[in-house]
Amino acid sequence: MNRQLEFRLDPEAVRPLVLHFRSLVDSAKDDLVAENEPPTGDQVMSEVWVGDLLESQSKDINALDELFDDRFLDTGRATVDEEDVDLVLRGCAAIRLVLRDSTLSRFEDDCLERGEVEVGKITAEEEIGYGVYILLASLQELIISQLNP
Amino acid sequence: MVSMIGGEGAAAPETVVDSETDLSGVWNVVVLNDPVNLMSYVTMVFKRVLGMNQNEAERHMMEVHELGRSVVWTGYREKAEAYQYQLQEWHLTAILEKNESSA
Repeated sequence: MNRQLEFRLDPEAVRPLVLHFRSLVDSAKDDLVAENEPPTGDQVMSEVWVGDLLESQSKDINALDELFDDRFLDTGRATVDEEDVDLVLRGCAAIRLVLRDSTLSRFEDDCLERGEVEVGKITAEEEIGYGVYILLASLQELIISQLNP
Repeated sequence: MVSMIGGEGAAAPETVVDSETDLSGVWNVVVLNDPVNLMSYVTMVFKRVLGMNQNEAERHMMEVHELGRSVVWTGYREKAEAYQYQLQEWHLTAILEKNESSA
């Protein structure tokens, strides 16, 4: 039997986060989000390597985009099918990496790694971006805890 | 390496064929630190991709976190590339380095 993981959030609180998430989706279409290189200088092989990774990355982010659909905006309720767990976990990682290079680019790596962003001292957009960053981390933690009870 | 010497008794030219390429030998798969991916996520990826047990995965994760890098697998190039690809697919930063100690 296919298992599902369900989570619920306050729709009003989550709305600006979902809208910001959606604004980031397209920015991850053309480039790898992680600082990665192909293992070879061979141009053809490198193009295949990066192309395959981009295709995989696109599936990850699409899975997350489908999770945060209009129904989620209205109800704050979403379910992750067992078969989509890997895609959602990777999608969260991908968008968190996008946030690091976009909305949260002003912050030092150490600051992000230690979670030392002071919410009261940042702009409204950064606050929303950091909210998405934390939401996706929480979703990852929730899924991983269910994978390893 | 194969050495072929032709022409009996003559001042034969020696042809040395180097059968080793830059890609031969033993390679390390190295994961580099990033400030974004969660410790629990990195540990899970090591278990899933590399088949590590919980203790091994946590040890390598801590090495990445504290030292900035960890050699997570060592072996022949083809398999090293396969692991590198899978780790990159999980959005970890992974590189290959020649294992000089095995040369």
